[in-house]
Amino acid sequence: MELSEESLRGLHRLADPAQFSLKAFSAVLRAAFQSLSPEQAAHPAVDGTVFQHIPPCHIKECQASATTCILEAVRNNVDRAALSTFLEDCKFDKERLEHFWTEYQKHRETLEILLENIGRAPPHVSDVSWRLAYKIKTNQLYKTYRPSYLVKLNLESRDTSLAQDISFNCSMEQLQDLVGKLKDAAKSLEKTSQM
Amino acid sequence: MEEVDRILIHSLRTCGTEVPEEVQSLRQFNTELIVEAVVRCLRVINPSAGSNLSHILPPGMSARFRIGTSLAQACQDLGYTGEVGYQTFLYSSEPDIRALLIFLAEKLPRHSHEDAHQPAGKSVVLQREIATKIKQQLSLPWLPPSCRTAAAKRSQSLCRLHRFHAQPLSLAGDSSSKSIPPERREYWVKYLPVVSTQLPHAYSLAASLLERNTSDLSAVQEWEAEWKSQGLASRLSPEEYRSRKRQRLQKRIQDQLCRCSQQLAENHVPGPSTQDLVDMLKAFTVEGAADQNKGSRFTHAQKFTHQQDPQVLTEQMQRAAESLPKKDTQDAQEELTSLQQQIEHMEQDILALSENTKLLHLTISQVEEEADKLQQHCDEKEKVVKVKKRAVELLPDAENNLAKLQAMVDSSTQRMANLAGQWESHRVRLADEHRELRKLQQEKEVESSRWMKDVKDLYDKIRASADEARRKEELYKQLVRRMCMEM
Repeated sequence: MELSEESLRGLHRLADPAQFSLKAFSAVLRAAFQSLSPEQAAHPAVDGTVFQHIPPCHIKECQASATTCILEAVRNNVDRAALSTFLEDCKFDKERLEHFWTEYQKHRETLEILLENIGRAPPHVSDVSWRLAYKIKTNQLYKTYRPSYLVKLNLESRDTSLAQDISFNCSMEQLQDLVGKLKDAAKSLEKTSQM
Repeated sequence: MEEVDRILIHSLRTCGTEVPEEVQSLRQFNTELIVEAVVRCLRVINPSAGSNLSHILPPGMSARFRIGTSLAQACQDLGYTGEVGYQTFLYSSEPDIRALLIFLAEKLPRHSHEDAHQPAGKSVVLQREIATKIKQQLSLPWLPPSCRTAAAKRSQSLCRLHRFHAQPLSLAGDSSSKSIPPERREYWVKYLPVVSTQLPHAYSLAASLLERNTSDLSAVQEWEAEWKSQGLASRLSPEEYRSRKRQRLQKRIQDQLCRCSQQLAENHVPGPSTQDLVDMLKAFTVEGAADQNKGSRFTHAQKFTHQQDPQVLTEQMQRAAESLPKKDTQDAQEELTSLQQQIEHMEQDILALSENTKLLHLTISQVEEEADKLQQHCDEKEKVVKVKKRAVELLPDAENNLAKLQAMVDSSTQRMANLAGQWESHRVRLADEHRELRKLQQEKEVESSRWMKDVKDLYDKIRASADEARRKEELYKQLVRRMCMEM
């Protein structure tokens, strides 16, 4: 886990008991965690009484640093020992460290979900139905006599009303190819899981 | 196959099977060797399952059968999907055994002894974590969306995905530093919103913060790498190195721009814009040379675009003002001539087009006439065709139709004769009348000529009597005079 100089500066400031009392520290930390929780519609109001003697630009700086630190910790999935050493490097005392860790544990799962939900994924195939047709002739050929498969893939998408199914028509060779590719994919997934 | 066999034999040897040197392919495997190889592999793959199997084939048939069955069971337990039974081992066929051994060799843990001793690298740890995660997710059954529990939702739903959308954030810097201008510090204190309120969503906030952190870190790393590789070799202080590098880059940019502007000047008449560019380039170098202390590229660019020398600006304005009227008249004349040419072109076009239309009209009338003629022709031919069609229709029953036709012809001739008779009687009557009338007329003519003669005679008599009267009048007058004279 690494942080930029800017964020480290903020964390150092946050760790300094001369600048941030424990109350102010926990308020900043709480604000940082709450700003990342998706359910929190209203942004946390920073209680003015706790920060009477602290310049506002320091508060803003420290909140940004704390938020970055939390995000990086979740991203790197750091355990307690690693986080402790990192925060101790930033001159955190034991009390603040404990506080940070408990808050972190409390919000960890929602934060993980938050980070997991960043990204894109193609729609999932949830089901397939198929039909076999026997083609006797086409416009061009008088005699074909070949099977043709009508395959429909049911998709699961983020919005059920928008879920569109994919349906296509393929020959036996193409279907075999598709099945082979799917088998390959399943096999390589299994192989990956056995590393 | 040779290659496959060699690899297989190698992997069998590594897991403890004593394959004799002269055996080079699976074809040479006998039953004992096969059983030993399978048992050794099973022991390596799954020690608990393989430990109660003997790798030496017993001589008794029933014992052989038992060991074959248990081996087949063990293979199926490992997930072998092919057909396997005691006969696979005891009465082996080469392809079956090859497939089974390949499956077992794939299942063998790879380089297990190496991994155990070496400390795992970062990427290996990551890959292992990914593997366990995938395994865990594969072990979960798929659930329809409405039945998912929270854990399944996390791994199977994709409904809440958001794109990684990083946006620039404005963060307060180190306010204790002396070099920060007071305006910026005031902005930080009074107006800068808290980082969580700068962006609308938590996920874009997370993305932006992560992006910012990573880009800062990588910039630092890049600088360090460059400094270590090139900067230290140049024996300059970091500031000097930076300014040197900036100058070099500026020079390159300037050269490129100069070359481009020259190319432009060769191709076109130099306008005020290229002159501006050259001036700007000059200003750029002057400023770059003067600006030795470090400032970010952004502030530099700001200066470059916004803080131009007022003198330079006025010069530019003057030049623009001078070039404007000259250019105007020239341009106007050029435009005029070009427009006139365009008009001439258009007129010619119009003339040509009107002639064309006349011609087309003529051809249209001709074509219409032809069409009329053809239509008439067509009508005539249609009539002919109709008649012929009738004839053709009648053809199949020719005799009947002929008889009918004959009958029709006969009846029409009879009718004709009838009509002729009628006509004859009519004619006689009319001719008689005609004759009588003519006689009457002749009589009338004779009478009228007689009357004419009478009238003429009368007329002559009248004239003669008139003459006589006149003579007698004169005589009377002479007589009256003579009488008067005598009296």
